[in-house]
Amino acid sequence: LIVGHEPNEMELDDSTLWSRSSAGDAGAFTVLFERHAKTIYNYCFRRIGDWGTAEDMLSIVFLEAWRRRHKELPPGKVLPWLYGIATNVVRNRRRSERRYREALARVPASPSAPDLGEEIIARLDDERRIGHALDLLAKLPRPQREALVLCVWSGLSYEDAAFALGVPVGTVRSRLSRARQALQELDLAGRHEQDQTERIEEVAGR
Amino acid sequence: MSNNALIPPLRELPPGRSTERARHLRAEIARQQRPVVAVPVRGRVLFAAVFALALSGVLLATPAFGLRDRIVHIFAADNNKRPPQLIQRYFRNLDVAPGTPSGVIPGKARVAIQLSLPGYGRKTLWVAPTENGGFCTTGGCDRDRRTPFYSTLVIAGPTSRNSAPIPGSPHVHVFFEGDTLIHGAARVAVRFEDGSSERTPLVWVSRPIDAGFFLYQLPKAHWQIGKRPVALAVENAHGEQLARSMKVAAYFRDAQRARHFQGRTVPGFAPPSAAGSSHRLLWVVLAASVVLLAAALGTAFLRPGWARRA
Repeated sequence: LIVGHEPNEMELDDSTLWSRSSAGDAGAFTVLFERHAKTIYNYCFRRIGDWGTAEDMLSIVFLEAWRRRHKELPPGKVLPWLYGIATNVVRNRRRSERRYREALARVPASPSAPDLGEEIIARLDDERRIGHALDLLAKLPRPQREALVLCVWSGLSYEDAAFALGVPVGTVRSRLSRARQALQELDLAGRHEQDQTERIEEVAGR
Repeated sequence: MSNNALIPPLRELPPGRSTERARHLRAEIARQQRPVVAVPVRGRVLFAAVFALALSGVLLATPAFGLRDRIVHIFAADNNKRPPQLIQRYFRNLDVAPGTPSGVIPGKARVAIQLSLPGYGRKTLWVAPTENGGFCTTGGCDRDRRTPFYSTLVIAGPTSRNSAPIPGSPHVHVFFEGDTLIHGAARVAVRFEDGSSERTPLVWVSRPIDAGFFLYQLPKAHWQIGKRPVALAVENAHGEQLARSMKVAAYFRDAQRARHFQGRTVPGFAPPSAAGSSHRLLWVVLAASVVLLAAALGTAFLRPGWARRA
């Protein structure tokens, strides 16, 4: 008969893990890392367009989160908050890299280059494609760009995106709307091929 | 969303990298959690405080050594600006004497002094180097660097059609301006008939001009007989006289006799400090910077990150 069950860390929700992290529990924080590493890694890649740099950004995001571990977060907002940190880290990339230069230098190198021909080709293709998307996004002001990537590319709700960006929900809505409008105007003004129109629609999430 | 053409699909970290990064994160956290050895931060704070105090002391002492305006001049924004066309044209048409070209290089003209004077507006003294190694100002030329101390009288105000000052106008302003080649000169003293004197600092302009310049507005209180200027003297930082000229004071009295302006005292006219008015803000900024620097140094040395770890 099981009368009680002490859940292990992998079963705990984010908020509990964050509370433990805030109390200095490195193990709980590592679980958060393992849980959200892929999400943040891909977000960083989609903002920067380079898988290698995205990996370093991932480390920086979590080191920064640890540094600010005493922040009290509302329930269910750990991941949006990590998105927020990632947004700031990408925004201030040089400063972040400078701050954590020594820490990044201690990242062990890959033991050996694995034979992942297909994987490498796919990743190179990813970088080429996201490069085109980022070129289109670069035409937008930074606030609109950030709202679009968070809501459309990363699938955050308006509320979570607002939390990540530290702005009201209405601001996220208007930024997203303006971003889509700007991309539409870009499409209309471009007089380009059908292919380009499809790209713009895809970037804008339509 | 992720399966379309432009936005790549979500991917895992390369094999083994997730584990490596997690291990690295744990190691970094462990590094941060190591107890910090209580290093003698007091010494560093003391050092920062002494450094800030010394710097403040040096800056405050600069006027005594005649350096203040040289330091302020470093921050002069006009140094590298191309002179306006009007100024360039003025220098281009400048002759040392009729038919004797000055050899001035108009494109290299720069602001030596610029003051905002109450009741007058902005007054600027421009200087441009000459091909012979000398310089010309809007007040005259020393093409070959032969005049150790030069001063001139400027009467500014409404003029008649033939460019003569309108007699008796209350809007007339009188300036003494000039230059010196004497290194070690710190200021110019204007001595008056009543035995009093006023001092105005020299602004030193770097090579190729390498000369000190001054601009002094003569207060109307000193237009009165018995209080008028009698001489201009160049002094070093210790107040010792290095050169003296009585000509410009004589020009002033001549101009007054010619009724270019009246000698009545106009109440409420505040004599400006020639350099102080425009540089006061810079001094405030400089002082604030010193305080901020001291605070930043103190904070930086107090941060735990600076402390040596066990």
